[in-house]
Amino acid sequence: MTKKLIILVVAIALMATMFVGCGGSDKSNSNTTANETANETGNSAGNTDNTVEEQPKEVTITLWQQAANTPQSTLDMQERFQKDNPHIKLNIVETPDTGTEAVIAAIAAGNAPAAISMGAPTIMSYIYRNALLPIDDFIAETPDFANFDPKQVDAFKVNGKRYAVPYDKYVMGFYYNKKLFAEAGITSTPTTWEEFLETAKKLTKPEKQQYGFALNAIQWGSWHFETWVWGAGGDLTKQNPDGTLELTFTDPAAIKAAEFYRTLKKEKVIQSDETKNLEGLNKDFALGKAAMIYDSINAGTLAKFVDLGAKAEDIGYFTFPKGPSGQAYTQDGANAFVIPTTKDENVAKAAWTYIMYANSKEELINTLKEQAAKGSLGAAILARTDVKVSDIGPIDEEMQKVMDESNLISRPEYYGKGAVGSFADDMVAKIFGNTNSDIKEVFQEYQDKAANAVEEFNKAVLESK
Amino acid sequence: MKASTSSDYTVALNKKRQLETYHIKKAITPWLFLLPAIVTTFVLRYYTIFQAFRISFYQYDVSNPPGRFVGFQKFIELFKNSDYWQAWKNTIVFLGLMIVLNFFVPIIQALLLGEITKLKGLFSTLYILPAVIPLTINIALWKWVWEPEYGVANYFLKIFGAEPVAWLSSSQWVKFCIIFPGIIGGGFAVLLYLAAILAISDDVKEAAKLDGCTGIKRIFYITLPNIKFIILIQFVLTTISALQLLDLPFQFTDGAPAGASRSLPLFIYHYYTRNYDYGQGSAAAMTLMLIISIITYIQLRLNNQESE
Amino acid sequence: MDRGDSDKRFKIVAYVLSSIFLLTIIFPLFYIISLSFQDDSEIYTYPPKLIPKAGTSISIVMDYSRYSDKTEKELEDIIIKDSTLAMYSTIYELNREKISEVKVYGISDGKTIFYSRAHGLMLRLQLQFGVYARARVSTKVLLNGDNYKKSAELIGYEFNIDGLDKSYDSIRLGEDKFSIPVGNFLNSVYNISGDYKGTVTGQNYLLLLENYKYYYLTPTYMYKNIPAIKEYSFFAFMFNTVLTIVWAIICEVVLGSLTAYPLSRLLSKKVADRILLYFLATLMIPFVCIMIPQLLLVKSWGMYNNYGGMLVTWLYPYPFYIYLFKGFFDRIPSAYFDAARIDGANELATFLKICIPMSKPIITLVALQTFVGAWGDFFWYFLVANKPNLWTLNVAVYTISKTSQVRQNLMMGLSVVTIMPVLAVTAIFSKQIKASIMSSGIKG
Repeated sequence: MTKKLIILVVAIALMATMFVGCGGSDKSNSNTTANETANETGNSAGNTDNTVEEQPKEVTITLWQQAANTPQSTLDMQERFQKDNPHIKLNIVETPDTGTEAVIAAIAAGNAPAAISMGAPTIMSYIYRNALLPIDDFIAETPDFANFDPKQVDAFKVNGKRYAVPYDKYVMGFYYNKKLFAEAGITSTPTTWEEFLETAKKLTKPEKQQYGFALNAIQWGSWHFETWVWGAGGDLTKQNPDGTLELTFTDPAAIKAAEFYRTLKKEKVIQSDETKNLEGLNKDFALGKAAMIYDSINAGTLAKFVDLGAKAEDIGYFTFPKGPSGQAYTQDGANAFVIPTTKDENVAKAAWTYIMYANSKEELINTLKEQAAKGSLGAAILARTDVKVSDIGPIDEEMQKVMDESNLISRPEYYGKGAVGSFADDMVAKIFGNTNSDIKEVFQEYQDKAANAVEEFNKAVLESK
Repeated sequence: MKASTSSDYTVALNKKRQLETYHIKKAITPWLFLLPAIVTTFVLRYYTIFQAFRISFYQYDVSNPPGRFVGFQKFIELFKNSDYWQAWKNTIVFLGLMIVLNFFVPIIQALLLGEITKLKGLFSTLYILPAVIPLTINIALWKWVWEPEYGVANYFLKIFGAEPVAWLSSSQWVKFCIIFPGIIGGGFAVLLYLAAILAISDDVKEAAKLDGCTGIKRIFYITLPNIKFIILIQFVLTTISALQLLDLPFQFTDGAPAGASRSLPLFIYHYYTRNYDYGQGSAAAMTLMLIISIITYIQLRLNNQESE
Repeated sequence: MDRGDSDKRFKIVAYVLSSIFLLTIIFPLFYIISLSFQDDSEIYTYPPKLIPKAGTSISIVMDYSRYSDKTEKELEDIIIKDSTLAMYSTIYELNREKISEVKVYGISDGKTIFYSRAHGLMLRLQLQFGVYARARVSTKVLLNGDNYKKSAELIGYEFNIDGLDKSYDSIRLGEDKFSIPVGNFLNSVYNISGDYKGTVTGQNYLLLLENYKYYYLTPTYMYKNIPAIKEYSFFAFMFNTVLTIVWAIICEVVLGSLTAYPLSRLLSKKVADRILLYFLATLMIPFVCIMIPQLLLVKSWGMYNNYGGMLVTWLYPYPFYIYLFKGFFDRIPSAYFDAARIDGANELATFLKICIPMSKPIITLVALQTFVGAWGDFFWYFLVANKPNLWTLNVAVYTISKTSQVRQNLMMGLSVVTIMPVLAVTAIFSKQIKASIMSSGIKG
């Protein structure tokens, strides 16, 4: 008897824990950010007891940074920011290794950064997933925002709302290793796909573990792939007049581009280790193992290669070669600051304060000055119209020239990438990784897979009207 | 004796009460022992898995969790997803490889060590040393061993006149490359088996010898049957960990090339972190758990039947 | 006779096969150490080298006789500038050579008045994460602001206008293959102020051992804003790892034995089996299934990005250990417990005084298994802590390996520094470890 009674008691106790547990964490899903901020507010209030009472509410914002790679100018800026905004405490944590891709997971887990800088493709996909805050209200009360190039700002306008504070516009082009070109007796850079293939062949020397072109097909594969599709005279998607999205993965141009990828692989002019991600490919290029690579033409990218061991004087640039369509295009995008979704208005406001501080005229000049001191001042298309790189110091003319040329043939990424990008990325990785598969079949398969996402996208577009 | 002679009513009542409290105490005590573990297991496993189960019925919305209830739609989408089935195929291959490389090999190593008389101590010490190399370091090293251009693996192949292989980039080899380094981490398993082998009583061994049971024969008829139990335990644990394989493919290749090394747990992880579809990821997680439960149940059932 | 023969043959096979397995097992250890002694110029070549080359030491000699009209301070400044230019340009321009040491001699009227010496990895460290992080190697950049002074102070130098007791091999000066190219780039590209005299080179294996000093220093440069790491380098990660492991062992042993005791001794078989099943069933829940809910849960307890989150999950007792404990307790003869009960001891006392002292072997086994498990644990710590001062070794090594400037030799060097203490402890206690496994009562 007693035994049964006790089992019953234990069971009830367990049930109680269960309900308490459920209730507790259900709430926590929505309130975590607020709770945490409140807690930390309490702490910091205790520390700064005797400071001015009239200050705005104390708030802590989380920022992601790679400790090993943060420029001194950023650290200095943050120190000044703390001094000028004592009510905002910066909580700096290490960026997850997956970088900005991890932001959505972090929002779900309630530990997202309050403000973060990312590239255009990522931003678009985040906007589509409701992961970013629209910033129109903030812009309205920030006079300094008039100094930002409206064209660059509107590149992040979706369904009538603006989402990002751009830093600069980037255009893509080719980097090449002048020394390896000279060794192979190549005197001019390729201007067509055929020439590109021939050049790559000449630059491939297996005995030296040297190959022609570092081709990125496995990490964000459609990012580079689209440029080849454009050159072949088509696109991966189509924007209908009413703003809705239509997939054209099976466009003959896409097939042509995929075939060219396979030709490059078959001719063995690309990396033999196909699992190399962008980082590995960058390293290969920097160490002189790869002779050509496709990347954004600007000072930051060049600095990246130098950082990895390249000699700046060995690096040259050329624009995207013409495809079978007789046309060449290249892709453009932008780096910009965004505010990941948060329910706490104070955090969002503090994040905005931080973003505008980090992108103020003075701080931008400081950043450029540091770059100049490190010897890597190069061409850039800044978003701020009141700062010019040429005011800071002399610019690399060769880079400026290729950047200007690329700018003329540049276009933004394929429409709706934010919604269907992950499908296209997987698709490119698949036709590249498994050369036995039928290209058209695979493309059709992924187009079908993405159908749901397209439907959701179009619903949102039509609703916003 | 004393108690029975006493006829005083109150004394008897007291005794009864004492006996009752004794019984209650006796009944409660085990549960007090069990309570901490029951509660923590419940909170950290049963509650969390229930949450995951719940999420699998939602179109998850990060800014407004859990989002829209969609019933079984996530499961239906999942079963239509060819990547999901490919991940299953990969997981099964991983399972097979782990059984061969991480389960059988330590048994063989232990059997061989059991035969050795001299240097046994040295050998077994050297076996456990590499087991303390942390996982990430091991992976960083083996990635370099498998590197197609500069790696040692292809170097040895070329010495023996074989064609170089792309290893981690080859969809045929990648799974092998990921599991193979596990061989060197099996040191503790080897010692467990060895302990069991050495625990076989001398009488049994002597009797076998007299019956003419030596060499390979002895292994099969005497040693193996006597360490059956620990083998079964290790087999079940290997199976479970093979089906839950996440760290290794994540750190080695993150699923490349073209998903050839994407185990089902990695598929789930990718759905969380790349596609941000928690509903779909959780749905896949539920199916994984179901299959693990079924396989484990069958394994244990078979063992029970055999021992009956 | 026949039987003896087959046993003997079998034994030989056992020795041979065991040795082969052993070689496979020991090879990675050997290879890690070998790679840590190599540099880019060796690692990125084919065929791979199993034995590293010796390090090259290069001494650069420059003459300052024509600056006799300068004051001592001015001359010191001129030579420090030159020395900075010479050192960084040498490892930058000669990046296909294994330069492990650069020495700079400044001479005037036949006397050595300046001497500075830097290990190759020290210079690389400054270029990757230190004074010249992310900078291009050029005269303008190297001499920008007072960076060259900072660099010279870090590297260390001696200067005395009256002469130093430092000399180079003047007979071999200018005879090596580097003398001409180094002179070319120092004079025409980097524009040094002194008169270039030539170089002396030597080979030295001991320089490679010094690599480890800089592998040890690297984390302090990479994470210079994090006090714990700046001070203790990778020992900060080691501390976190040891903390989690000790805690894990305590939790698993205490909870495991505490739970197994009533299952084995106090409850009826039927009830005990049911409870055991309650625990064992959770073995089948893959971590990836509960990853996100568990993170949300732990976070709601305020345990994100602190030790709380890293430790709390160990409160879940691993069911297999409960099972092991139960099996062991089952085999302790009842007489011991009955005796204790007759003495009037309560169950807790019986458990602590009778059961635990007899269970040392199984406790050691569970502790060992927990150690192996916790030592290899990665994902949870990876998810729950993204502040470098909280990283365990696994997370730290993984993250460092993902940092773009980090080269293979540094990775391997860090690894060696990391695993050596553990290897040593394991080797020293291997007898005890083995003994405890043998006596744990694991049966066939």
